[in-house]
Amino acid sequence: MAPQQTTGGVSRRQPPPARRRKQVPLAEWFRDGPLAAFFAVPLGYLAYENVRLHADVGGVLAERATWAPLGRSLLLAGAVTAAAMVLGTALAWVTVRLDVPGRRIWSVLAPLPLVFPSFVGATALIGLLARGGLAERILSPLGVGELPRLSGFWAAWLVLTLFTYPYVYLPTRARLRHLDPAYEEAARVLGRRPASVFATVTLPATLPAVSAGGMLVFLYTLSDFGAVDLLRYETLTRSVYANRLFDRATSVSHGLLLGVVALGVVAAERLLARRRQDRFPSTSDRHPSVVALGRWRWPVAASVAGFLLVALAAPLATLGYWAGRGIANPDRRTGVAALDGAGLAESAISTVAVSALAAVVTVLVMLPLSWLLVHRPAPTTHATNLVVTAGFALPGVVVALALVFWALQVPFAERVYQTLPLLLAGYVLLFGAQAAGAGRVAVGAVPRRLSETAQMLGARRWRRLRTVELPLMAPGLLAAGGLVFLSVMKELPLTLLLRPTGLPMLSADIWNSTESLYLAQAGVESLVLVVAAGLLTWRLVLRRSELA
Amino acid sequence: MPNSLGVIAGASRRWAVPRRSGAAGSDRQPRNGRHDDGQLGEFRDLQVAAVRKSFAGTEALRDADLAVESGRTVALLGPSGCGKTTLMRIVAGLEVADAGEVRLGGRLLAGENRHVAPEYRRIGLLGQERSLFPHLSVGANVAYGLTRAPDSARRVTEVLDLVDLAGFEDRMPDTLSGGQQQRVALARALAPGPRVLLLDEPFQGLDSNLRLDLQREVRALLKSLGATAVIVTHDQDEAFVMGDEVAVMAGGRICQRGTPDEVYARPLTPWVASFVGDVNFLSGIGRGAGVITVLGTVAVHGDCIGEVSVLVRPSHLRLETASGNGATAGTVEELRQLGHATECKVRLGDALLLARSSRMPPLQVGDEVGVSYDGPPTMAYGAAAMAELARNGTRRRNGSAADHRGR
Repeated sequence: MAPQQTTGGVSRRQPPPARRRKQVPLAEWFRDGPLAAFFAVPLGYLAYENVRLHADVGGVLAERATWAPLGRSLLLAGAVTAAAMVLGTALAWVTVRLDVPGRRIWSVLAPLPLVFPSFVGATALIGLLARGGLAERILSPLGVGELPRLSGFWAAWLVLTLFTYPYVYLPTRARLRHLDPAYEEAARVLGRRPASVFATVTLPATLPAVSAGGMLVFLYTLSDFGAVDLLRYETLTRSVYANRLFDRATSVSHGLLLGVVALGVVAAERLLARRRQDRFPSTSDRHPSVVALGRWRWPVAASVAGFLLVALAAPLATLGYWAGRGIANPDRRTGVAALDGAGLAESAISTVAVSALAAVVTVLVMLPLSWLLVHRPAPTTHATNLVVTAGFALPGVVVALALVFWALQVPFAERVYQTLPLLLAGYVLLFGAQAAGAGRVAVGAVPRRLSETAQMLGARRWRRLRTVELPLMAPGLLAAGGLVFLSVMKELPLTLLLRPTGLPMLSADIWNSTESLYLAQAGVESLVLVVAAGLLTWRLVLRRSELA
Repeated sequence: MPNSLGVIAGASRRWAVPRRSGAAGSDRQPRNGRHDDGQLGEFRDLQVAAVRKSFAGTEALRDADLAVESGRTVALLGPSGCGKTTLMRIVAGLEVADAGEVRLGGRLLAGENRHVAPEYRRIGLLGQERSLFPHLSVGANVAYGLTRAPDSARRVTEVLDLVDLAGFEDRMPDTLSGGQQQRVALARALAPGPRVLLLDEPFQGLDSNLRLDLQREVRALLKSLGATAVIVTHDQDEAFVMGDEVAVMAGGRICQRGTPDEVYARPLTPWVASFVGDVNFLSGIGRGAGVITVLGTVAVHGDCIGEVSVLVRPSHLRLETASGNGATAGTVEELRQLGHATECKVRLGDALLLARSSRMPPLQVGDEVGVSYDGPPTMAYGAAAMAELARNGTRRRNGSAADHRGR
């Protein structure tokens, strides 16, 4: 505050407590710096490699070979995001606000496609439509001849939309459920028809949740490798992976480009979110008002069912078909010889153990950042959060290559190469953003007055944390852990490149089985992965947000 | 406002406090941060001196002073934003003052280079919001501050009994009503044996009947415990019911302190007068102990000479259907039935006066009435004080115009 604004008498009596804040950013640098430095490892690697390999960044940028995959990446990410936003919002709205028959069942099934890793989903849908596949078996008696082959842009768009829309569905649904019905009721009373209420009140109120979910979908698509590789759509991630051995300069320059785009997207979303403040206080215990559909009840239910048939039942059926066929006809070619129950169990157990460990480590590493973001945010904290969030958009390939590179470059660090700690570090880098976001919700669930009340009753820092803050944060932290857990189980490239030799992980096993065309084995392994991920995610994430 | 005698009598029946043998615990020397003997009677006197606090350049407190003798309750009354909650948070240790001192029983809690953390102050705080730990049972909530007490279970039973919630130990907070939750919070604040109890708008958000009940019950409980307490409120009725004394706060400092009667009958400034009740200001000419007004000579406290404004409470105006007997003639402009009383706005020349009485004669709008002053000696304010009131604005109460100036 400028001194001349106060009256003379007052300013003389009281020295203004000016600028003390801005003098000590050093402490904040030390506080927020280490985490930011850790999360800057992949981008640092890319920058360093570009310089070391004398990659002509300007020249690369000017090439058509760069523009084309970049354009395809952005086009795909944009199209998938738009479709996922529409689909996720529509499904959330239908299951929360319409009296569709079987509402409860649909709302439980709708988020489940999230448990499919995109490469498993892509494999299953390709297999479904392939020559001699399940779809042909079912449809040929009905006289349907040629089926479309899944490949290229539209295939990638379809597959990624089907398996990412839950990122929009979940937050939007939560938002719709807790939105105070008073706003909509006021609009109705003022003479608006339901459609108009939706457009003028419901949609603006849910937009923050929709756009937050949309950003996740965008970043996921940008960094996805499995689905685009299988569906032969040449994006930046595919180029980074394909060129990593023989044309490192192209690989790292494309990787850097991907990182910069991701940072830009995150920063843009921040700016937009800051400008568009959330003006709807969303805490309400009242039940949302349900719209009666009348004669549209069954058609709406049928379309929801039809959609879930494609997104959920079709891939599951294909995987089950492969697995069943393999078990019924033991045959070397279908890979059933390799199908041993003990190996599969070992794989499943080690996957669950590693995922759980990664979830715990990630949540613990990110909790301080979440706490600082809620209670003591400084410019450095926001910058750190930006770097962390961009980590979500980096493909696992890039993060894995960065960690391998540092492990082999830095003296004494080679001992961690292909060890569990390095694998865990990779997971933290990739999924720290998810844990930080969910962790903020958890930290925000502890009202300050409760900490203060505990303090007034004589509880010191540690006791307050143990008896009040952690118990109140527990549901949120569990949800954060569940998200990371699910992501780790689904992650393919990082797991392929960083897992210690001899550590079986389901996602890597599935990939290897698919590559070798051991479809029966891939089917069984995928089913185990999807069911395990589904059950555990159900317990940790969905049950809390859905059925509360 | 409820009858103050009835308040105490009714409440002590419900919340009888058992006399315990060790009530002399207050004589013992307390040890820092220890809940040594578990008595509820360890209250001390509180002194706050010249406390200042600014937030981002805005002064919230300017040299606020507040002294509360041991065993007394002071109601801190002020409009929202006057700094009363900030003052409480500084006493509690939840905020750090820019300057000034806080002492409790002579011990310096906050001052030059000293800030005792809240958890070591032994101050009980009852906040305005729901502050029960939602994940702990009622019993665990109350026991939260009793870690070092040897017999905490017995103590929990005892304080829950005190607030009339015996047997509620195993209930969870979300199964209780708002009033019950505040009682549990009070029990929890009392359990560790605080030396002073701070109540920050504790009855806000409760419906008005419940609020009145709780006010008188808490008041009786504080008295029977001999508690030193500060209750923050913006509601003057609540302040008058709860406080042995009332401290009126405005603009970051205490501007008047006294018994409820004093503050109501002899407000030091026109602003305080209008804040603690409805007012009329009649202009007149001071003649020593009396002021000549349109209603005749009105007796005032102190001497005043020249042009002044006289405070006339609406209940001190008497209306009669027949003029005469020295009453001034006026016209009824507006009537409002409150149930327990009738409010009437009377036009006297270009002055519009508000009168309120439970024994108003039957009147119609447009009737001629005789108006006279029928009250104790009142206050007269000079032009400077009135100008300040005009600057700060008057407080409007119950939706009725509070400022009725006359000449």
